This record gives sequence, structure tokens and C-alpha cells, in this order.
Amino acid sequence: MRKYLTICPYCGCGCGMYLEAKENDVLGVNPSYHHPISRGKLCVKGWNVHEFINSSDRLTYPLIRKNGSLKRTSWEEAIDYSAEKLLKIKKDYGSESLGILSSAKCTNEENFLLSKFTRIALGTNNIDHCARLCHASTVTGLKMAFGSGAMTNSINELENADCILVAGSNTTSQHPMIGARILNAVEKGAKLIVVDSRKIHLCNFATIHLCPKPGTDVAWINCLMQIMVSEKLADIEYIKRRTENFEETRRLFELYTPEYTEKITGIPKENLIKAARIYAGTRKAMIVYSMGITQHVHGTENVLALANLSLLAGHVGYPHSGVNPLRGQNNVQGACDMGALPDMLSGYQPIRNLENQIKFNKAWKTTIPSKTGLTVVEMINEAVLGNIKGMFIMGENPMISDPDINHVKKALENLDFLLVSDMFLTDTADLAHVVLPACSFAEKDGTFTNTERRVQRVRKTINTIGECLPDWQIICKLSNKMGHEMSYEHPREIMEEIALLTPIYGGIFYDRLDEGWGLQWPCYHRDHLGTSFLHQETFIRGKAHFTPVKQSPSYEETDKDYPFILTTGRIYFHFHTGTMSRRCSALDREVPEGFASINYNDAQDLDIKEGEKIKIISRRGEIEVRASISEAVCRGAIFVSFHFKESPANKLTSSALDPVSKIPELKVCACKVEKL
Amino acid sequence: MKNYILDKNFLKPFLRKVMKKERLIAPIEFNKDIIFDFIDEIDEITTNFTNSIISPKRFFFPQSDTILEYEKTSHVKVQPIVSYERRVIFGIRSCDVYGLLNLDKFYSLGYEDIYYLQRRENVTLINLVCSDPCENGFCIYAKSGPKAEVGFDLQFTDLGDKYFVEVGSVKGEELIKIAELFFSKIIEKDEERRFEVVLKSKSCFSHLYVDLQDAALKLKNNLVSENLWQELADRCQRCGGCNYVCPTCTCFDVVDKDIEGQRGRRVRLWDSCVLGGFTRLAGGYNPRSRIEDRVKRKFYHKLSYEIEKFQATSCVGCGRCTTVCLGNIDTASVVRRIVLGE
Ligand code: SF4
Ligand code: SF4
Ligand code: SF4
Repeated sequence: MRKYLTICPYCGCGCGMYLEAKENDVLGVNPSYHHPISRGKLCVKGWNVHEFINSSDRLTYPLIRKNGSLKRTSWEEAIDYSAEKLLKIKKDYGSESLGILSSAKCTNEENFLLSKFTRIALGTNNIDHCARLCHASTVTGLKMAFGSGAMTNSINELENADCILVAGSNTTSQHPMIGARILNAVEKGAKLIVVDSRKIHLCNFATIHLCPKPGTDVAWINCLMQIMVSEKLADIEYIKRRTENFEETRRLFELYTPEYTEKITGIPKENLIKAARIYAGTRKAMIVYSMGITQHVHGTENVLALANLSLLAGHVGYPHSGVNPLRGQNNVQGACDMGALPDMLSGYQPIRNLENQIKFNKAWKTTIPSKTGLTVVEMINEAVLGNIKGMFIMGENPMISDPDINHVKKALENLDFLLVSDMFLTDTADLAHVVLPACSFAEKDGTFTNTERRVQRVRKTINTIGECLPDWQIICKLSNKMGHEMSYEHPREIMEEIALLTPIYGGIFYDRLDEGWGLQWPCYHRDHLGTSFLHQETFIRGKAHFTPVKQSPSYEETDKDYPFILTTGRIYFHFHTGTMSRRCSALDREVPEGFASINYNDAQDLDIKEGEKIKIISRRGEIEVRASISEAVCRGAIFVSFHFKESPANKLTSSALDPVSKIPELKVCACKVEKL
Repeated sequence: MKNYILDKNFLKPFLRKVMKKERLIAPIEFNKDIIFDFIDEIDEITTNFTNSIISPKRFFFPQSDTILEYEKTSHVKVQPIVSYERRVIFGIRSCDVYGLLNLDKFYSLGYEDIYYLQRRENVTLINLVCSDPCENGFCIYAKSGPKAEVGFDLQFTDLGDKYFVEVGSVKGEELIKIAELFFSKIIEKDEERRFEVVLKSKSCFSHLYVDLQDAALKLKNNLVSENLWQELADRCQRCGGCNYVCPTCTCFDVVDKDIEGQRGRRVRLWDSCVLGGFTRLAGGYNPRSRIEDRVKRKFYHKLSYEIEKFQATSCVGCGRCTTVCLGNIDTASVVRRIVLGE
């Protein structure tokens, strides 16, 4: 038995934990007491993380499709065949007919390598990953406003804030450690403003709860600004010195009077006024938001509105105050940082910039493509049209996680060649031509970057299971076979290349990570201690930029035939597509199947009883799921979690996109409910 | 029983000799965190430490433990898996020694749990008295520390340059015999110093009085308002941690896992009574479906029911539930609030 400090593979909090292993079995976990995030604690998912690692469902050898079904094969054949297929598609149809989905579950090193592979071996920028589905609008929005799309502060700063505004984040359930910090802050006397169309757990601690109709966020945010200006609560000096484009923005948000906004959002005007006074009146005020803000066709506008709000109050650029998007997956921050994006290289260096191209061409001894690639949903659309012919999906499961699954299925089935690497035979892997068995986090070295930009070491605890390989080795094998040499002995060497090419990771080396609890980027050089909060003294982009935004409608509004608004999301006991959490007996026992939360009054109208199976139908598909009658959702709304493949919420959702960030509208779609 | 003196320079030589005969478990420091683990290299051991997040309960009742393997052939073959390894735990703290005494009672009452009892029988405990109490502990009020009165095989008190060694059992005496030459006789001054060390330690607790007995009485007489449970329930994040780390929590779940083909194993896993699935019945009905009821029951069990059954609360005051809780619900503060009649 030996214990190794590593990082939890579930959420973006990034708790430090030791895995306890006997022979090659992981038998338990031990939270780290001195780790700045876990502090001796874990949430229920972390406490039970040991259970999926040695699951007998793990893929332990490569599979290849022969006569329609997946059969065991050797690594050699699997790689040879895959390389040959990819090369053939490239030759016959061009690089642009290939697409890559990288993974927010994999390490930074793996994401960096896959990004490199896409650019040098395939010759395309068609690479994206599930961040597109959660925080694409954050990356674009906050970059436009501040110059960086990451959390402006650190998790522990929350404890000393005077005011916390939580918008569209069910924090206690999705980011338990951050939720716990919020409770501590409230205990110390901080004011808590919760804005959510559901009565989430945090409402029990809120000074005030604003409950907007889904899809009306710009309105309430603009209204808070209107109130702040009319009550002279705006920080004029700050606006003058630190920002630009205020006057233009002001003309637009001033239209959102409390009376007008009450009509759009359904939030009583007194509450809007109260919230504005609290937020503007406190000095250390943190905004925390998540997918309730981002997953809309106007997601970028929502994010920009929040940025405007914080600037108006002068709330960015010092500790305990700022705008904090909570990133969902363990390494979704890192996957973005590493350039698993169609328009950026690692460290958010735009691919269209000539200097960046020269730098990378020199380092990689090649010419990287300069045309912006396709995003997740665009790749799927192009595959349906037959323009994308081959894909490699590393550790993602779009057959559960992406909007409009029927459409995704059509796309993947339409491919000439689909290569998937995963730990389990997921619904996506099931459609592949070749499936490669990948290692879990316990079997490999690397780094994850948590939501507060902390780059932390993941350490190998057990030997690889079966014939599994870590994804970075899989990428190397494939690249070498395709004639582009990649030879790294250890992920450490990949990080050295990342540091060389990525200014914000410039000072991140394994020996430094091994000394403490990781480093928070930007960390420019070896002596740089990392950055706990951003935009000190000046914004990354120089002056912060106000952008006028107005409330626009959701893609799909309710009507006579589809009278309910469906929102999707996660629940505390499960994670993403459930491939890990549903294999943990304690979590599975808590919530063994999906459910739909429906308001008590709606349930009565439709004569639906608790636990009864109902059918939910949208314009794209239908699912059957048990009803859970709840006061947490408001009238006319339905909430369904997307973890369960037996009742996949994403059969219903639409793939309508935010035109700027290309995030799909997962938080609003029209549906109807039928009793079975 | 006899007492001895062990010069600190000979602690590791002594433990090295022990290691040759039995499997040694001791605290190791990883990145400042303390974890009890099997020792391969004697120099890994740390002697200056505050107690570990997870109690050595794990070595008797592991987080997941394969209790049998089976093969689903025409007649099912079952192979129980019991550990008979002989072990010595060095550095266990008094609260955890008392924790084990609690587990002993539970796992031998009525049904004898061979998986636990075998491991227990084959272990020798060397308790290290806390001369510097930990931040969250209140063993002093639970009458389980900083020095143990029973339950240990050997008990070491740090006198600066040497340990005062008390022998608590025949097993302890036998362990000393492995390396008798390192141990010397005590003189009266040593006893005095030992007394002073413990006295000083007792004066250093950061907790104010935690009156477990009074809380138990108030619970028994139902003098606690429902609001308290409601408030605690609101703060509970259902992580299960308070049960997992508690040295006296005994509950487990049993699941069968496939190995491959027809073979499988039956595993028992730590369980938590704050989780809804803990009480949910097969048909879906849950007698304690509300988290309020589960939190309430947890404290009734820890503090009140145990007194009726075993004449003592099953809280040994280790303070681990304070460290682990996401909602700042910990036995010490709950006891205080019960006593105040909140
Ligand atoms: S899921 Fe998140 S909060 Fe829970 S243990 Fe893992 S990192 Fe921590
Ligand atoms: S209830 Fe808390 S303080 Fe008491 S023994 Fe258990 S973990 Fe320790
Ligand atoms: S440790 Fe705290 S949050 Fe976790 S289950 Fe126990 S009482 Fe609830």
C-alpha cells in the first residue's frame, strides 16, 4: 500500500487527495489536510472516487470494427489501421475533412499534444472540446471585457468577501468546496445574492433571491446597472481610470428601468433595487457564475453584462472582488489553456496572429494551418453534411453530453472513420471503428488546472490496467505512425515544451509543482510565484471594455404546443455523462436513475404523481423519465439532469448556437410533458 | 504492569527489530499531511505529528475490503478472505485507541465479525501520548485522552530525550522482549516528568468544555428543538465524510463486483448514515427521506443510543468531524448547542 498526492478527477475545484492502493487496486482515498482547496475535506464524489478505477467494465485492450461489430485487436493493428485511415481521408478530401475532440478530463500535457497533433499531423485547426458546451461564452466574453477568460480571483478569497452574487450556479452541488466557502462567508456576515430560476440550496442562506424567467439575464443585469447609476452608486473614478466605452453602454442599459425589467424577468422591482444596493454598496464583492449564464444563444452577452456590472461598481482588480466563472470539469480550464480550441494556440495565443504562427512553426518545424477551425457543434453539423469524414474523440462522450443527440448520432454514423479513446465503452465509443483503451487519472502522471487557474500535479498511483495506455502515449504512437515524430519520455518533457511556447505557463515546471500545491497562472518565468487574482493595477487588455448589450430572445420560446421551458444541468451525486460516477456504488445508490423536476402546481394540473414516469417531448426528440415534484423549479419550467443515458436530456435540447462563442443553448428549449 | 524508559536514539532501532517480525504501521508525513501507512523504510516514520485525517480504523475496517470471492459455476464456490497478518501500529493516539475499544464492542456483540476481529487480534498497539493536543480534539472531555488508561499494549510518553513506556498487556510485554536491551528501568523522577508532561498537555486544549453526558441526557429527554436539526440539515452537504473519518463509525454497505467471467468478489465499503440511500428500502420507500431526520438520527446514535447500549457515548472526541465537514457541523459544536438548549 502506498499513497500518492493527486488531484480529484471530477469537478473544477481540484481537491488534493491521496489514493490508497494495494497491489494494483485502488481501495480508498484520503483528503489532503494542507491542500488549499480540500483542507481535509472532500465531497461525496471525491470520497468514493476509488470505486470506478478498477471497475471490471474498464476497456483493457484495443477494439476494431470487423463485420459490423467491435472485436479485440492488437495495439499495432489498431494504430496502423487508424493512421492509415486518417492519412487516406487527408489525402482524398483534405485536412479540413478531419476533426478532433479533445478532453477536459485529460491532462494538460495530453491536451497540448493533441492540439499539436491536430495542427502538425492532420494539418487543420478543427479541434475543440466540451468547454464549448459550458464556458465558451466566458472565454470570449471575459476576454473581450478584461483580456482574460478565467476566474479573476482564487477560491479561498470568497471567504473574506462582503458580498457574493451567485448567478446561474448551483454551487453547493456542482462545486462543493466553493459552496462551502460561500457558507463560511455568510457565517462571517457576508451578504449573499442568489440569482437563479430554481430555488437552489444556497437560497437558504441568501440575503435575497432573484428568480428570473429562464433566458432573461441581460435584463436583470442591465437593470442593476440602471439602478446603480440612478442612485449614484457607480464608481465614477474607477470607470474613468480603468475602463473605456462607458457612455455608449450606459445609453443602452438605462432603458432597463426596474418597472420594465420586472415585466421581462418577473423579478419584483423592490428586489432588483435591494440587490443593486447591496452589490454596489459593498467593497469586496464577488460575482460567481456558471452555466445558467453561459449556456444560451446570448451567452456571450450575458457574460459581457456581468463584466459591465462589476466594472460599474469598480469591483475588479483587487483581492476578494471580481468576476468568477466556475469551470465544471477537473481540467476544462487546462484544456482551454492548452489550445484545444479551433482559433487559439496554447495560452490563448490567436492562431491568426502571424507572430504566433512563426513562433510555433519554428518550434514544431512545420507550417501550422492559419484558418480558424470548427467548433464542437459545427463539426457535428459538417459531419452530417458529409464534409467532415474522420474524427478522433479523446475521452469525450458527445452521445450523452452534446445537444440534440439524434443529430449527433447521425453525424458520427456518417463518418468514414471514427477513432475513440476512453476508459469505458461509452455510447460514443460504441459507434467507433477503432476504440483505444485509455488510462484513468490514477494510472498516469500529468497536470490538471483547476477553476482558479491552479496547475497541479496528477500522480501515477497504480500500474496501467490491462493494455491501457495514457492518452499522451496514444497520441505519440499515432503521430509517429503518421510520420510526425513525437518522442517524450515523461509528461514532464511535454510541460517543458508548454512552458517554452506559452507565456502564461512560462514558469511552470514539474520540480516547482512538486514543491508545493501547484502554481496559479499567469506564471511567466521560473521566479514568478503565480497569480492569485488578476488585473492588479491594470487589466490584461489594458483598459477594461464596456460592451453595450441588450436582452434578446432565446432561440426557442414556448408556445401552445410546447408550453414548458426545459433546462438541463447536473446533480450533486453524478458527473457529466456518468461513465465514472455511475460506476461508484455509493453514488449510484443515491441516485440510480434520471428524473425530471416539475413544479407542484404543474404536476397537479397534469395529474402527475411523485415518481411516476412521464414523457418529455421537444421538437427534436422525446424521453421517458420519472417525475420529481419539487418547489425548487418555478411554474412552467422542467429541469432534467443529463447524466443518464437511459433518459438522455440532450435528445431534447437544441443545438442553436450563440453566434459569437458558438456555445449551444442548453439552458432553454421548449417542450411538452405527457403523463404515461 | 511494568514501566520502562526508551532512549529516543533507540526508538528506530527498536522499531527496526519489530519490523523484522511483524508488519509495522506508523505515521508518515507527505507534504506536511499525516497518513498512517505500512512502513518499508524506518526513516519514513515521523514522531512529531498531529493526528491523521483518517484514523487507523482503516487497518481494521478498510474503506473497501474484499470479504469473499466467488465463482458462479454450477455450484457456487465461495472463498472467504480474512487477513491474519500480524501487525504493530506505532504512533496511534489515545482517542483512536478508545475508538477501537468502541469498535470491539460493536463487532463482537451478537454477531462476531471475523474480518474485523481477526485483524484486531493480530495487532499490537503502541500509543503515543499527545503532549501537544491537536487543534480540534476534545478527547479530554470524552475521557479518551490525551493519555489512555486502557486499550493500549504499550504507551509512550515523550519526556524530551526519552520515552516513558507503559506496558498495558501481555502483547506489549512480548513486543519489548524483541529488543529488551534498548529498554531501561525507570526512576522516580521519570514518573514525575511523565505526570507533568500530561498535565501540561491537558492545559493546552483549545476547546472549551464539551459536555457529552449532559447532551446525551438532553437528547434522551427530547429537550432539543427541531430547529437545530433543520439548521444543521441545511448546512450538511451530504459528503459522508463525518462518518468515514470517525473512529467509531461502523456502518458498511456490501456490493458484489465482477472480476471477470464467472468470478466476482463481495466487497464491503464504508457507508454513511447521512446519505439517503442508507435507509432507503428496496421498494423505494425511505423512512428517513429527509436529511433533517438523518442528521438528527446520527447525533442520537453517537450520543444517546450508545449510552443506553454500551453505557458510553461513541464519540471519543478526536475532532475529525470538525476538520472534514463542509458545513461546519461538528460534534463539539452540536453538543455545545444541545447543552445550551438551542
Ligand atoms: S468533485 Fe470537486 S469538490 Fe468533490 S472532491 Fe472532487 S474536486 Fe473536490
Ligand atoms: S463524532 Fe467526531 S469527534 Fe467524535 S469520535 Fe467521531 S469524528 Fe471524532
Ligand atoms: S461531514 Fe458535514 S457535510 Fe459531510 S455529511 Fe457530515 S455533516 Fe454533512
